[in-house]
Amino acid sequence: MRILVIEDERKIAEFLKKGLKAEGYAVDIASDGEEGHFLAGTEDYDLLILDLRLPKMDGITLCRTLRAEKFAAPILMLTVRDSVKDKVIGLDSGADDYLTKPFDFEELLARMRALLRKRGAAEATRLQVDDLVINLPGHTVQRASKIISLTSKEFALLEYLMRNAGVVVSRAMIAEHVWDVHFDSFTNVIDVSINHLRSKVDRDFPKKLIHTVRGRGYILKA
Amino acid sequence: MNVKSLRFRMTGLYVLVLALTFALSGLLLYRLTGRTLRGDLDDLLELRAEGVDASIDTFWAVEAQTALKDGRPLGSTSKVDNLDFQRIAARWVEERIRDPVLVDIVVQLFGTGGELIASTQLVPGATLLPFDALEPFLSPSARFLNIVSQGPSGETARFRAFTYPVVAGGRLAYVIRVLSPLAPVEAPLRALRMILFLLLPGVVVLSGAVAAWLAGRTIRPVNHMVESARDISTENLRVRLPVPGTRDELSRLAETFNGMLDRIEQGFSFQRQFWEDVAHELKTPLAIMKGEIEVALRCGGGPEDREVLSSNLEEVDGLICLIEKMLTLARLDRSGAAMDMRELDLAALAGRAVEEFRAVAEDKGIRLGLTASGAVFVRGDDARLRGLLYILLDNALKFTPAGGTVGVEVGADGGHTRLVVSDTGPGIGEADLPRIFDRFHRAGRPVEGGGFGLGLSIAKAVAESHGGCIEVDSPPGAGSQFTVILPLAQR
Repeated sequence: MRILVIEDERKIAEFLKKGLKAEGYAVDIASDGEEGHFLAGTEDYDLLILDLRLPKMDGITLCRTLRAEKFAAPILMLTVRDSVKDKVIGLDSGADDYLTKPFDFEELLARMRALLRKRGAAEATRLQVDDLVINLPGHTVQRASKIISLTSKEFALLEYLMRNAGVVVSRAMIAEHVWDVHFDSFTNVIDVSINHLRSKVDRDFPKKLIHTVRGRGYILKA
Repeated sequence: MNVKSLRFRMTGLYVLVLALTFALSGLLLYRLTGRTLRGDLDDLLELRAEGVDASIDTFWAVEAQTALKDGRPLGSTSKVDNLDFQRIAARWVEERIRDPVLVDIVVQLFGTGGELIASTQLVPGATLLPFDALEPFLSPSARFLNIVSQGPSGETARFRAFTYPVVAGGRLAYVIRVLSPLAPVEAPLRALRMILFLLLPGVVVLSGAVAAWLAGRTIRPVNHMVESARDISTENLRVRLPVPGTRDELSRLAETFNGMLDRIEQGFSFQRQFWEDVAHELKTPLAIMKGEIEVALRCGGGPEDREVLSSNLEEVDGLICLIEKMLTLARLDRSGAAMDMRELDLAALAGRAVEEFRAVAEDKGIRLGLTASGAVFVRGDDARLRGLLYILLDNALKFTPAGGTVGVEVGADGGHTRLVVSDTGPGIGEADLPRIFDRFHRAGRPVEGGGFGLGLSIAKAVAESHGGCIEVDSPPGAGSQFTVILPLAQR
């Protein structure tokens, strides 16, 4: 997978490149809008990470220009501006997703995976990690052929953990994706919900799937 | 009426000055008029007395000539001790009684013994002359007297009397007294007194009332300004004082005030913008720090390095959280903050929030209950109002011990909705209560997991940005109770 990062902030570009490379992506960096436009037109990229505030050509203009030129790869916008209006402008200009700085690196990875997956085959209807299987349309959960009943929030939480199986998800990510909440008054709710989910998914089984990563969040892995 | 009010003092001062001026000039006028009228009467009396004296002298001369012609001896040519005087006086009175000059004037002639010899009219009670005082022939001021005459049936009349001793060769010959009724002098003075005592106080009272009304009218713009100024706070700097269209000192005062408010508002908005800019500017370096630490943690490193990096990451996350809150507050403060206002059912919103926190409450062994009497619609931003509910619920659950109760109540009264979140925790100390919504204020109670003391100030800013308010009540030993009041949606 080849990624183009268009970001004028050198240090951000550098840690993105380093982190993404460690995840197995090939990464190119463009440090202004025109260079980004040029690279996007000459190389074949699977995904663009685009900063909004850029010299020479700003992110919104670049995004519009690329979409007008039938550039097909998903575009993920990065910006420090976080108002609803800014998000709407960004998404209207042709971006597929929008992430505000500062962000969790895991969140970036999760969103990139989601964007790359969207391009691929039809949405999966069934997710499986080890012997835990959830059926999305039917809202059913099974572990080792034993049916587990969950509340709808617990199901949404488990679905989010399984979609990001093997990677750490922070509490902020869970709050935003499962509850659509951006308040840290919510961390207790998340911790308690994870505990409830654990008691249903892990307690009766010798192998634990949901793990706490101290200071970072939770991970679901085999 | 407020005794210290400008209106009262202005009116009072005006009335006082007016009353003093009127009293002084009235007194002066009365005195002057009295003196002039009396002086005129006295002059007249003196003139008449001299006239009488001259006319009697003429009689003497005629008498002397007649006696000379007839060769009849005159008792004496001297006026003094003249035995013929009584006869001459009677003749004079008889002859002159119809003299128009003497209308309204009574002429009395007295002998040297003080006995009344002749009188043009009988004035009861005025037939005696205080004779012993006639020596030595009266000083000019003692010649004038006021006499009260009393008739047989008790009616009285006041007279002015002028006593005119006729002296010949250093000896008193006889005494002429002229009297004039005082009524023509006293009647105008009485009328003047009436005017001064009734009319002037009336005028003072009337103009006092007019002055009070005028002062009220003049002061009214000031009262309007006071009312408007009362609504001005740091959260609401948009209010301006009404400028009266009078182009006077008051309108200049209002304009000056408004100019000052403009500058203050500018200063505040500059400050808010400054903090917003600072928060924004901090985001990029924080994004770099967070990203670099996270990537470094993913890419290995020794356990000691990882320990340091993890600790740094926690601090950076804390800072990011703080900056997000500062930005939230800055935006809520800025009136006309970009909010997504819709009609929302607050009861349903509270119900969902309670369900989301139910698991937390159960874990802590706290009863969490919702009381709502039905849908209650407000116009609000869904995300912000949810945030407000989460802050209050999170707080209540945090400070309530196991076995306690947290209650959420939604209701409407009047044009407002009331959302009450109450707990059975230890309550809030009296010292903390007034400052609980202050920014960065941390109540004396221990907060698990830190926090910046911004939660409740955000709750307050959210309530206020919706045109409502938030109140806290914490009676000792009875937990605490937060009440959010929001305007009902206009349906």
